[in-house]
Amino acid sequence: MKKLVLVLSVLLAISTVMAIELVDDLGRLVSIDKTPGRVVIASPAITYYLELLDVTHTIVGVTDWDSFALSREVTKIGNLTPLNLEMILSLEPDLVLISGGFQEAEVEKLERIGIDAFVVNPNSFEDIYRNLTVLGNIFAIPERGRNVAAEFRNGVLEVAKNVYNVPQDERPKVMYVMIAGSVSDIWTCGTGSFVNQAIAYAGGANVAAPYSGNNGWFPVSPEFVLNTQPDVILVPYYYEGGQREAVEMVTSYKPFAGVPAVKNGRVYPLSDSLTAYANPRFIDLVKALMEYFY
Amino acid sequence: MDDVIVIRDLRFGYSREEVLSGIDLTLKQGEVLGILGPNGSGKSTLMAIICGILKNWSGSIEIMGSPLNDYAGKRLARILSYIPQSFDPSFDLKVETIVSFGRNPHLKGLSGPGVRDYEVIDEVMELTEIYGFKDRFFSTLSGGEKQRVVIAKALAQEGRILLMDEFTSHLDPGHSRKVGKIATDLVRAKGLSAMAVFHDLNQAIEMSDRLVFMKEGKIEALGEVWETVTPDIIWKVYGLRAQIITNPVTELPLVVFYD
Amino acid sequence: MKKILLFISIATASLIGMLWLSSFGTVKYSMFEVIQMISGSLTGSRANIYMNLRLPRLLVAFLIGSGLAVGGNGLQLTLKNPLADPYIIGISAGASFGAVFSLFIKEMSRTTINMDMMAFLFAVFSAFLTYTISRRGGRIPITTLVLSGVIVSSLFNAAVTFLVVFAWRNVITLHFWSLGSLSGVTWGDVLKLLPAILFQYFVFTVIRRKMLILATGEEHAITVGVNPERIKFVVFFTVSIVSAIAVSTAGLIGFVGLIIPHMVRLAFGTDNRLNLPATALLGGFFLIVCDTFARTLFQPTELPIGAVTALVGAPVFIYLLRSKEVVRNG
Repeated sequence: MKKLVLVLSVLLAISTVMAIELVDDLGRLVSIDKTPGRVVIASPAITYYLELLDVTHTIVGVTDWDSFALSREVTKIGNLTPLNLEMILSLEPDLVLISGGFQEAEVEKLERIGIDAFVVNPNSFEDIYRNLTVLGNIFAIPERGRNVAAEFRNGVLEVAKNVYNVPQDERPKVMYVMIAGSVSDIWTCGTGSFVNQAIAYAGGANVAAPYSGNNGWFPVSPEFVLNTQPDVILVPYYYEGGQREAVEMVTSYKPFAGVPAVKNGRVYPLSDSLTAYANPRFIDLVKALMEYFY
Repeated sequence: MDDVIVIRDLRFGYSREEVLSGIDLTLKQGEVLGILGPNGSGKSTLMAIICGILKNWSGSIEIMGSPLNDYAGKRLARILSYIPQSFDPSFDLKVETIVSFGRNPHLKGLSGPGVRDYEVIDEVMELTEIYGFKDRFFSTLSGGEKQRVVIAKALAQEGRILLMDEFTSHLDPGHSRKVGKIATDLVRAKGLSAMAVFHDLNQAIEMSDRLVFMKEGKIEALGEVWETVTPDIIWKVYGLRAQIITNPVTELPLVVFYD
Repeated sequence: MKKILLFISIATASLIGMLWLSSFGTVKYSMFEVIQMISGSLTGSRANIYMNLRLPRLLVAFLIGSGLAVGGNGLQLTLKNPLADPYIIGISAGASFGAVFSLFIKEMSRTTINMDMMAFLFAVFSAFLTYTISRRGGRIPITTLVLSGVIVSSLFNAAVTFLVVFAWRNVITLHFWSLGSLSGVTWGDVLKLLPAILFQYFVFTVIRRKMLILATGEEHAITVGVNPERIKFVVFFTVSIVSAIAVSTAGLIGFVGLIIPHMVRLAFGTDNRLNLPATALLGGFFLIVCDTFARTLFQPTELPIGAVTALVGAPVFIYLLRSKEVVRNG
């Protein structure tokens, strides 16, 4: 009997020591007391990490826009901002995974009502790699985390290897054109964005690379397109079948008629699920880009 | 002390033009002083200066023996009441509420009206014959009734001096006479003094003890009714030809225009 | 006497209405549960959600609605203008600039300046700015007031956008913030708002008579011994405190200060002693109703509450603009 008590108390002590502390993408020190069994994902960008790590059984709630909810019976918690805190609290989660950026204010709200939140806000290939290992630690599967992360890194480098020695002047000049409403309102990505990084890995030369903005994104006028004369223009589309419409937004704009990309029919659609947020689909993005470039 | 208001060399102007250029005037205890003159002669400006609305004048004004600038807001309002041309509050208020505003100068700090104040309010409403509709809203009243409410408000201030600025000119002749009479009768009955701007020459003559004619910020004539009202002065001030006859009923001058 | 009965019935209906509305939301409660939870006899995780999220949210909605309505009432009297309201005349926009500016300073220089304080400073500034721009020879005509308010508001909104772009913050947060939301308010916010709302209510009760005198015209006020500038200063100052705290708690919420005082004037009259209590009560209840819509209409997604109040308020604003009360003051 005494032995049993001893063993139990040792086990208890070990499990207490098991509490880990991690730094998230906002630089917050988060301590994880026990392996989360109930997780709410407050940003669709994060769901894919859990799919790769094979811990989707812990998900108890996702936002309305999360494609995860299409295939599974899972509670929808509404918008990314403002978060429906009552809904989240009623799901009694051990952990809420959330993005940074415009969700930063929501992180504070979660803290105030005493819900553990961990911010996953990657901006680059390296961030994605690190977040895979960090999430592996959180879910107490560090080995799997490391493996998945390594797989991801090797996968990307494997693809990138094909073009890494193409000389600069032989690379296509590429511009990512996100049109908000009308052609006069263009957002593009420069240094600091993961799409810029993907273009480089895929062997393109991003014409916006010398510039930067919030997370690497910044607005430009149509003149920027005429001035840089890109060989390839990439446009995001937001729903299956929206490819043609997205491309035509650019090709039908008269002033762009002389731009090489338009002249040579090299305006390509990209699914926004690849470009909207940085997650391990990065590898698919690089592959898709390379196919367009070469 | 017979002079309740003494004005010496009063000057006032906006940035460039001078509106009053050297006014000398006294208001005697117990009299009604009628002020006449064409539009823009400075009558209303004079009124606004005396009751403290306009500042930045020069010269000297003494009220009950003390300089005007020595009076703080409430103290001046306890001596002086003002009845304007029209009174049009932005929000609808009850008659009694408006009359009660006249008690403000007598209230201490932020406290509300007391028993004595309500006695005064009731009394002035009786005097001006508005007690019967004290709970009605101001906007529902006729023009004549409205001006009587404003007079009641001014009387509730219990000041010794009343300033009236064309206070009957928006009314039809019937109401104009009635309201004018109520006001001047009250001034005499209560032994007050009043300065009144008039629009109508003959009404001014009938209701005033003395008259002042103003033009372009200056006083052209000042004195007893029979002394001041002459064809000359009417030509000079208004640019109109007139004949002065004796009013058969009041035996006061009656101005008849003929061009 | 009739008015007192009316007031008592409105008060009773509002109280029951508030408790009833508080039962709606992502988590649904029965009235019985609500009463049990408030009295403390029901605990557990459902009660935890109610007591820590729903109830403070309900109270914050009441306090902000009440504060904005009473503030609007005071501004209308002192500016002699039935369209005055903290949102219309730009106080809220000023406050929101101040709040964002404090975030900006924090971001840029790592020094923390109290957000409420900053919001307050700019609220006062914008109030006097609108007032100065719209003043025409001692009067504040409706059209110039509304136009100046629009100008001051867009000035500060532009400044907010500028700061956000400059600080590389995401614009989407701003969008939600500029329409206001009561999501995530806590008991701390209740405690922060309460003194400000009580202070404003107390001040306006005390100077109510002078505000009414001022509403009859500045010249009249002077001739009965009221100093218009002093009253206006006190009112602007007080309204700015309340707007600043309301904005830094819940963002921009418009029109409450406009429609509630108008409805109360119709029901009770301007000079009725129940006018101010009724304004406070109905303003609070109105915002609770709007928040209930915001919370439940597109569940589980939440609407910004400012969008709901604008949806109700804008038509009333248009009606007011064309009504007698305004034409008379044009």
